[in-house]
Amino acid sequence: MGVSLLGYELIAIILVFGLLILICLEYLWLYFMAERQEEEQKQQVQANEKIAAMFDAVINSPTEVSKINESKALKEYAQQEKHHLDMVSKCIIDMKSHEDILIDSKKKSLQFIYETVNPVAEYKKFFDENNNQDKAFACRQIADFGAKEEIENIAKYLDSKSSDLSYNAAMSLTVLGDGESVIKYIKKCQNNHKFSHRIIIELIKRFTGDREKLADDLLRDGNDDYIKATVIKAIVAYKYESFEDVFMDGLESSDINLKIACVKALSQIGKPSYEHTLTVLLHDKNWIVRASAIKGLENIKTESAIKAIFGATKDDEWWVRQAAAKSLVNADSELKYVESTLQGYDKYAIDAVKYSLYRYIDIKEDQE
Amino acid sequence: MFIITKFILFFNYFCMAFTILLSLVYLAQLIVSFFKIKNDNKFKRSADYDKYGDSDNLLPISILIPAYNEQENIVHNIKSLLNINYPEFELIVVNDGSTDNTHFNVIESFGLYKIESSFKVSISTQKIKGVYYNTKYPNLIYIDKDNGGKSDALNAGVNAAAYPLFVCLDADSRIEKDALLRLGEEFIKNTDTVVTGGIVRIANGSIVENGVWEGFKIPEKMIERFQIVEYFRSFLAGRISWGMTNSLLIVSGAFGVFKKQVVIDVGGYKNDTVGEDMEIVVRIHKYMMQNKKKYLISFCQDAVCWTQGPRELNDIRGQRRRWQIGLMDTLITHRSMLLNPRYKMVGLFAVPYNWIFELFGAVVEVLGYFVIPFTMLMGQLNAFFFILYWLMATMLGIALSIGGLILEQYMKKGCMNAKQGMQMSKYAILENFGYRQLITIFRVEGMLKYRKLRSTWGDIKRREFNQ
Repeated sequence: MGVSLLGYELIAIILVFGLLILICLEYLWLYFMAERQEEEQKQQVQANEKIAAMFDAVINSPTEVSKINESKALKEYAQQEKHHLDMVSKCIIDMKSHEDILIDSKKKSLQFIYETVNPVAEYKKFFDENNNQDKAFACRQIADFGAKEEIENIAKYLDSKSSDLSYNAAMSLTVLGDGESVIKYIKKCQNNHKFSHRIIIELIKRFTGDREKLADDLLRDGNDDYIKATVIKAIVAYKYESFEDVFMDGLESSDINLKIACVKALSQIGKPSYEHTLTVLLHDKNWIVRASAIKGLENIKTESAIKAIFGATKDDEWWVRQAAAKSLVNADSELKYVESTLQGYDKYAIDAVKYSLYRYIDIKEDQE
Repeated sequence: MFIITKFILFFNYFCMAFTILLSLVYLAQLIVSFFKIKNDNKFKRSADYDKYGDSDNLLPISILIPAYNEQENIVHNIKSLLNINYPEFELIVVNDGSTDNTHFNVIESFGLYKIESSFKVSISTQKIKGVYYNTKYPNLIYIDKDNGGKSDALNAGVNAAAYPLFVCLDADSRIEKDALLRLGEEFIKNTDTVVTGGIVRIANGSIVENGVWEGFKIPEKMIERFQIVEYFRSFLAGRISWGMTNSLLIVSGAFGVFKKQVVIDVGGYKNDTVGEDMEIVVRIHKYMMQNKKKYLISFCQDAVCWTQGPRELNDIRGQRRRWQIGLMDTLITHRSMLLNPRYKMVGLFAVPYNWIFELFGAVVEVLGYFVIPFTMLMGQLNAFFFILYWLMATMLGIALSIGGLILEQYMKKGCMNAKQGMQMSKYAILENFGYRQLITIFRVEGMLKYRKLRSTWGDIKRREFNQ
């Protein structure tokens, strides 16, 4: 017994006590979390109320002196805590976004608050600290305030080793409309395809500068088909006819993603002059190309385009038939080809057209 | 006799060592998850997810709801899902031959009418009796089909899905408004993602208004409280840690997003199993590695789904038997992956872990419950040593359960506040005195009845959410 007490049993006793201490520590942790959480919630509510009251006091201040004093108090409050600054900034940004419905005196007061609190300067202070997440957040906030004078300061983070910081810097620069930096960042993305798809689309979508020029620089300078395809995908909705030549060239590409992106872009523009090209693409060996071309023909809506769509309802691929049926129902206003399909012998085409009629036209209401 | 005594003694020590080892593994998972959450919290301030609500960048998603006798919850659930925060989605409800009023309730509530359908049948299923639609609810498609089980209903939903991603949800579950957005973002953050799962929490007692979860309340019954603690202890830490190494073997059947084409490529959900959620994930791992494709199966702890936990012991028994049978069935089906270096982390660690700790662990534990006290009564085992072991095993269990509650609070997406966490912590202690042991016995019972119950779901009682 004595020997074993010095052996395993002693170890077990030590472990039991160790575990007891661990459980006590866990309890303490949970207890302090509960205390802190409650305190934080209270503080949050108080801070919200206080900030609202301070904004109110500035905006409705009876004299210039009280306005200055209240604004200074707001600035001091924002400087006390990081989350105070975030809350004050959020209020300013929210109010600025509704500036058009504010009366002139309130607009002026809001501007006065902005200038006194100077959130951009406050966020800039994070650039001197050694916390990448705070720097990233500061970049985004500065961009939300539209502080174009900070472009240079933010741009230096594009090369940061922290992907989170460089991404947020790029997002900020796109909001500030700095095309040069955005292009630099996107070109850097070429080496990391895993993230580039998401980033390129978001950057182009949120770009506040000349988006067409940005796309032009990216499409005409680069030779990476993946990046090109992604850029084209990002600008499809904007229907830039100036890239017609790029899209046409892309149709000859061996990169299937680029080809699909180009077909989609041409389809979205839907110029009648593309009809022949799109009709030829209905015979492409890739079904996504065929389905994408149908959308373009739907936009063109000429008799021959609708006829070509009608032909596509008999495609071997289910998805192409569905796309063709949907486009036919949308484009064939006289229902000539729709009826022709329904009276035909191709069961699959009939099914596809019937399904589209049910999905996109309220049959029940029509029957009633 | 001497050999038998020696063997029994050896077995005693083995059981003890095994139980302690299992707890230590769980403890390690808890610590790893803690650091993962700590790291994730750092990025939350500048994270983009809330800006994604109106982004074209998110892939459109088909929400599949297999429904079998869900008359209590189905309409509320559909209504809440039609208001979900996601830019482009469709909702496909598959009635799997319900025998109650599920069909009638859905048709009536949404004024649906039968349409002629045209779905690409990528996976064969039981006969589709009808597809229903109403242009007033352009996002809603209702499929009525012959009964074929949950997997069959999901396969029918996959066939009907028009979008590249689909999420499967249980009809008695509710997802938080931003949950889908968070899961959808996983596919954008890493384009290799093929499956991602969210966390499932017990909604018993919680306040649900118009089908939307509004707040946490501690449920009435002790058995429901134990389940809440258990979910945090068992699921949260485990899934976070396995997800970090791309070796997550299960994405909850109640809440997981899949790339549709991958599921079609692997042949859809397996029909003759009750563990279809785990089986499909393991099969995807296998398929992707066999075909040398880059992929990621991730876990997003911030995407929350609320589900109704069983309220009666007998229902828990049925549920846990089913889970264990599902686990056993999957591991047996994919036994070739065990310790197979071809399957990397999955084959070398995740699958063996599930065999040793999740499957046989329950057997060892249950045998220990009987053999150790018996050996002690026979005077073969040092009683002092036994008490020490018992204390140690229990304390490790308590430490783990409280650790789960801390982890939940630490996520800063906690359903309960820390004060409620404190209240729940007494159940973290109490569950170690009977509840955990009972659950382990149910699991072993499931293994013993494997042949009989492997493709039977049994009766699952549904009740309405607290409104």
